[in-house]
Amino acid sequence: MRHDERTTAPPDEPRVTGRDEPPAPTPAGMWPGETHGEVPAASPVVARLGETHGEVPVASPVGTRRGKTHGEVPVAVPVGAWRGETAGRDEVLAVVLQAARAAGAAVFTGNGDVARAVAAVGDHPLNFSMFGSMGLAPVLAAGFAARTGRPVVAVEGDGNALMGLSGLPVTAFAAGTPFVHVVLDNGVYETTGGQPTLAARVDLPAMALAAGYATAGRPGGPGELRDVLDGGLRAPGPSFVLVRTRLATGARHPRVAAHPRDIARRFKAAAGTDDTTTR
Amino acid sequence: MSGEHVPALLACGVTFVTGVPDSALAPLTAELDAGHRGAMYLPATREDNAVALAVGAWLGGASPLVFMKSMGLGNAGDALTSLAQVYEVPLPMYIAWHGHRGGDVPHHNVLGEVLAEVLDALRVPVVRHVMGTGTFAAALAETTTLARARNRPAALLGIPAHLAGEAPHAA
Repeated sequence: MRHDERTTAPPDEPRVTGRDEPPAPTPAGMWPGETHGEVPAASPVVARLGETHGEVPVASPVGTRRGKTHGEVPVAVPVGAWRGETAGRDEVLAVVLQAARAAGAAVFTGNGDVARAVAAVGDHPLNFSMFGSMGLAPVLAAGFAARTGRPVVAVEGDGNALMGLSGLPVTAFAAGTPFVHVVLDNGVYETTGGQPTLAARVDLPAMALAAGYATAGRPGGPGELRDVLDGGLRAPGPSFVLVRTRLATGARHPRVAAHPRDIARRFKAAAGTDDTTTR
Repeated sequence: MSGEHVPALLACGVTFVTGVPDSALAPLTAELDAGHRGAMYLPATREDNAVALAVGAWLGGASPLVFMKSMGLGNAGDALTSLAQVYEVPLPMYIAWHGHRGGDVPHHNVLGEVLAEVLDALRVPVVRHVMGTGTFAAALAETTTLARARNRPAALLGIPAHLAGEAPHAA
């Protein structure tokens, strides 16, 4: 009965703290032709982008992770609070992957640099890298959750989340299981060169709640994120988590080299679901 | 042929169904809604969501089926090609063929006239049947067999009887 339609409205308030921070306001008039290829000065995320201008930034605060053995999740996770600051993408992913592995959860990644980063920070047979199909990772993950009831993490960037808005009700309906949907919001389409998204103007956690998610929020630091993940991977969901991240620095993580077919095979073998459908 | 769909799905080993409702598919969704919604049937909001949900269920060990009307193929395109095709997912799809041979309203005819060719161009093999003629079970069996033998999507095109005309199996 776990997929029965909800009879109660989602909670008015998310259980996660930190929602009192409104999304960074985007100046009105940012979109009309006046900006015309120019980076609006008032947006901190975009302003930083303007400095790098298509160039790959050099310094990497988390560069020690690069070259890690596959399958290993870095143990040392920065404990500094993010409140009022943005988090580093890879340090957030390290927290997410640690929690996922501890719960035995499968991890589905949206396309773009997030997929690369997840593979680099903590490759694992129960990671499913989705290469195309932008915006569909949570729904893909929800199909797996609906079928197996196993704990699941879906992680994607804000560009993916915005493209996949029509999937929120589907995920909410299908994934009444331990399920955490993590959105890393850096405000731009980083993979394609840093074009600003509309995320700063959108309250994504509120949209998730309105679509039927069980909880949604903005954890303010690694400790809060860990708590949300640990809770969400052991309780009926889905839970929605938004973390503001700063633009990644340093060289891009390498492209995931495996053929999609082999990713699916590896995943099904690890999940124990590989001998039930063929022929 | 009311009541023929779910038994046919079960006979083919289909264990997970999702899609977007359509007038021509109403007999199928009526059967699914009556007792299977929330269990083997999860409704989707768009056809690409349906494909992704089905692929996820397949990763979880299910044998899925996706249904949609022909115009939904456009919505499904990215998921069908970048997910179901490249991850080699045996995914039978049941597509209600509106605009078949241009015999429908204009906004159905544009895609309807070339539906089989579009699917062929996408390397999706096609099986056809005329809806309401008691042929669903056999046509579905052929489609699921194709999909599973190739580990790829395969489409069963359901032609609404009023569009079938004198030569329902003509291309």
